[in-house]
Amino acid sequence: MIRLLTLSALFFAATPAAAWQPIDTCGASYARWSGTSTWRMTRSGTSPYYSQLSDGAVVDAVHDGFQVWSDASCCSSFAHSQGSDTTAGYSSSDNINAIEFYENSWPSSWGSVNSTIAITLPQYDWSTCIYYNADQAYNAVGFNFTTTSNPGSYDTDLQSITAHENGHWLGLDHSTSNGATMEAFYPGGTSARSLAVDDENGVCAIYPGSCGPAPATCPATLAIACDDTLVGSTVGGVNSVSSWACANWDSSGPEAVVEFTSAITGPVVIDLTGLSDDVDLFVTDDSGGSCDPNSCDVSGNTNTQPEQVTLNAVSGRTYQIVVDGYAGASSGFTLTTDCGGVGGTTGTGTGTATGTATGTGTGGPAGACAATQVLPCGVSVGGSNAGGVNEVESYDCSQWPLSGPEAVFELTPAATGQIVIDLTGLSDDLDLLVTADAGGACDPAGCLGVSANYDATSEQVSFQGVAGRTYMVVVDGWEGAVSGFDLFASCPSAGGTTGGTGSGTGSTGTGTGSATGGTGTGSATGGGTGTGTGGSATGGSATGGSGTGGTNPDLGGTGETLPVLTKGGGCGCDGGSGEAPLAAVLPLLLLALRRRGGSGPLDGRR
Amino acid sequence: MIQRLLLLAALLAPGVAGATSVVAMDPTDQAAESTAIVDAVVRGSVQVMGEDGLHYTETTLEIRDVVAGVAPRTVAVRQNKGTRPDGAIFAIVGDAELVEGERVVAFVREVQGHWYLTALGQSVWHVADDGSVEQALGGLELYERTFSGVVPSDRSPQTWPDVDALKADLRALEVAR
Repeated sequence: MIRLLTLSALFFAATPAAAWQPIDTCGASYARWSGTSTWRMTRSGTSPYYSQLSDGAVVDAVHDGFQVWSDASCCSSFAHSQGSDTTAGYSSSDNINAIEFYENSWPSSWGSVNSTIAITLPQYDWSTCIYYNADQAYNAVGFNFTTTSNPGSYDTDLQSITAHENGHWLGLDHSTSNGATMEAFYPGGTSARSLAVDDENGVCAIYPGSCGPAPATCPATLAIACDDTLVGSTVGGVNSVSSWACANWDSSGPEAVVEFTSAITGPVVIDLTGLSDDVDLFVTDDSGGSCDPNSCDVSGNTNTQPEQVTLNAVSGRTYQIVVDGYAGASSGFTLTTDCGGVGGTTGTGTGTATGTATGTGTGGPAGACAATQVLPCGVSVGGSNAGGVNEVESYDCSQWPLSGPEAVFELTPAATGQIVIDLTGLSDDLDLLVTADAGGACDPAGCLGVSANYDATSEQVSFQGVAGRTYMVVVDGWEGAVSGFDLFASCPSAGGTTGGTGSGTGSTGTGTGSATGGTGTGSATGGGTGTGTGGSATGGSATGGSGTGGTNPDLGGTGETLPVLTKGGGCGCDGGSGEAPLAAVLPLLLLALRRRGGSGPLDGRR
Repeated sequence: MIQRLLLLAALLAPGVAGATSVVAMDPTDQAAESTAIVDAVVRGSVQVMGEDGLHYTETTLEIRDVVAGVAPRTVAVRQNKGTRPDGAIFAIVGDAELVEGERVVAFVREVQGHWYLTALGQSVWHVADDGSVEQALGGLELYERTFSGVVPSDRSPQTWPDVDALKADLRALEVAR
């Protein structure tokens, strides 16, 4: 009877004004996960997770339902990650944290099929209060789950349910604080997608974090596609992440971060080979273009053994592949992705224009490493850094004095793949650098590649570009050097993945060069064709017709030549419509940390 | 102090805490899916492995009064809860806790020879010695179906002053089978 009264008291306590409660306290601490909890989607055969939604939509909703708890403003340390798919379902003994959609039948012990929307079954050790396992089951027999912000009649907003169920997953009982996600009674709509203050108080009490510096990030500087190969190096790179949630060892070596957007839903085998030191392979969720050290999978063999991770990918979803060194190690590497050779859709190729336009003029003002010119793909651009301004003398990939004036170009490739930039026609010692875009200017701390040969030797930088992303191409002078130059960017054609057939003929292009800050003349040759068959077509080679450099008032009045004077001569815009295979634009040395005067380590000395 | 300890004990008991997302079912809704509504005393329980591979606890209800429908003298109610061989405890959050010796009014249904609570914790009213009743909603998150989707419910469930009033209303209901 006393027990009953106390039980009743507990129920009465669960009325408005009560705050969050733990699932259990085990007499000591709160029942909770120890470390990162890994959840897995249950898949039956080749069926989707849930027939009414794409796998990507389901995973996004589940992931976001977890992430809302990880992102609690009070610095929750709750961490989760998605593991590979499982065929296991709801169980009380397998320790697989399965999330399953039931579409055919709903077990009677889980309550009425017309009532129970989803259940969570946490299992924990009474003595330690640590979770062993937690499964979730979604009742898709009695409910239609959606991901739209305005569910229709009788639809159920999946993310609201996942956010709620995941609160139980991490150890929260329901709360009756008004507006809380875990509350039993509160207004409808999708408000349950976000946390109330009481929710945050709960998760932060169970998973106390620290409001210290922002978590380490490692922005992606490289990219790889399906069935692709990438050769790169972490030598001379930056160490941003030394600790990963999925690894219990020192990862203080520099990272190479490679963005991967899957073209398939299913297993993608990622291999890391060609190692000369002990580097490991991590695959993480994407966090705004950066890796997420708290949500990862890892292959961590010793020494120079190859590494392999099988990613259960969702088509269209972006992941970050990270090569990180054990205890400070760094190494060259070869990274490959195997998506099973699944073909893509028919693509369209774009012919690249080749032409030249040169100009001469009189110098004008220069910005703080701001791009003053556009470097089109496939167009040779002549220029000079003479008369320019020295704004940057040091980059994170150079350790020698680049005290000459800069000429800065903006490059935005139309397709993802390897980009090769050649700097030729030099009369003095200019170097070539590629950096991230810092708002229309170069980013000295975001160097993606450098070529720094002696004297007037030509330079070349190769890097993996991402379609639509802007990069800064910088021509800079060693110890004040100035020189004219020719710059040429070879980019991949915009095309689809393997598969499909395309053909086309490029028409004669026409173009007009325009000079900035000077008078220039340009010329280009036109005409070209592009054909494609069976997924191996090449982009048409349409060339620009003729270009003429424009004129610009003499702002400087000194008769000096502007760093770069023309914007592309010809415009060969009507290239062939063909299939441009990624294989044609793939493996090569990225991050092109080319050493000055040879292939030795980047030593910072001229 | 004793009360605090008892409250803590109740909190610690598996199945008391927790939560599950459910559409609220009033007695009429539940009756439509139930085999019987019973007034019973909770007796002992055993753990069994079901034919479906799930671990169950079967708790015996000794029936004092069949309020509606048909039920035998005792029924063993299956719940997906228990203790694993390695000592880990588990329970569906939001399921009812049936405490040995207590009196309950419950909606139950028979499926393929086994008995279940019709709608987890919603299907049990705990009866105190003074006759007052309290529905076992601990750990449940209540939703309702609307023309703009299934949304969290802002309506509190119906309450009754005592067990007799509850049974009087329930006795008027027609169970499904």
